[in-house]
Amino acid sequence: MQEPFSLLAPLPPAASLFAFSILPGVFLLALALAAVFSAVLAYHWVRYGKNIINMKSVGTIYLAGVLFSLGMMFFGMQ
Amino acid sequence: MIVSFETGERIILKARRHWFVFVMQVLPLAFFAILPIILFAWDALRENPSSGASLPLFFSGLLYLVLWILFFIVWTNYYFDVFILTDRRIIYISQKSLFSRRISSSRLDRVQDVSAEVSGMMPTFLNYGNIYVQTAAEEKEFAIHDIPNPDIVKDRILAEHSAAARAPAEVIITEKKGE
Repeated sequence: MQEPFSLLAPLPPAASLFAFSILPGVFLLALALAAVFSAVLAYHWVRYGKNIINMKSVGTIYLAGVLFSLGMMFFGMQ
Repeated sequence: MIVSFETGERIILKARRHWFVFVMQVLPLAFFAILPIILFAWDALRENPSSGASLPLFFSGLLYLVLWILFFIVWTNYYFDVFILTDRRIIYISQKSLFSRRISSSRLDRVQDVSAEVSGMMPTFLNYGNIYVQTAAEEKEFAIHDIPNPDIVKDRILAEHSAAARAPAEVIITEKKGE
């Protein structure tokens, strides 16, 4: 009996090319996107928010979220 | 802070846009953030849940990364948009986007007229609105948007304006060389 369609099903063998060639590229692009925007935001916080925001806590929360999502992507690639 | 204060200048009031405005900007991001959770929950509740969910996990991570960065851009724009009333000046830093901001400043004794506007259902319930300050300075009108308790802020500006108008003008006398 055929398995019902599932969005979360493991990748079929035909999709392995996609998984091995495109996913790491997308991951690297996401990494670059995160690096660029982190630099832009950090610049703004340091330049304009010196006495307005608590840089340490805001930076920690931001980085935690970025690392969490990058971690999700990394484990999704495995 | 990007604004430098004069020596002895005292901050009386600092106000940002109302939190509801920020929540409304963040709401679409929250909607997209919930979608993967619903997808994974729906899969887990099925009779035969999927064992390897690698591709959805990957794209969920990508979605969360984009949403997280967008959230912090929105938050930065919200938090850096600030109105400051000191005992000498009114300062309004309008952060339009990450690379666009406008800093307006006027001395209190140059303020001519202040008006507060609360328009709409949510602004009326939550008591936030706009303040318009007419000045004799180069910047003719300040428009400060979505400030909480605009009536109180307006009264405070007028009170400080009256105090500044009553205070004697500062006179600086310098001696000329050779006299």
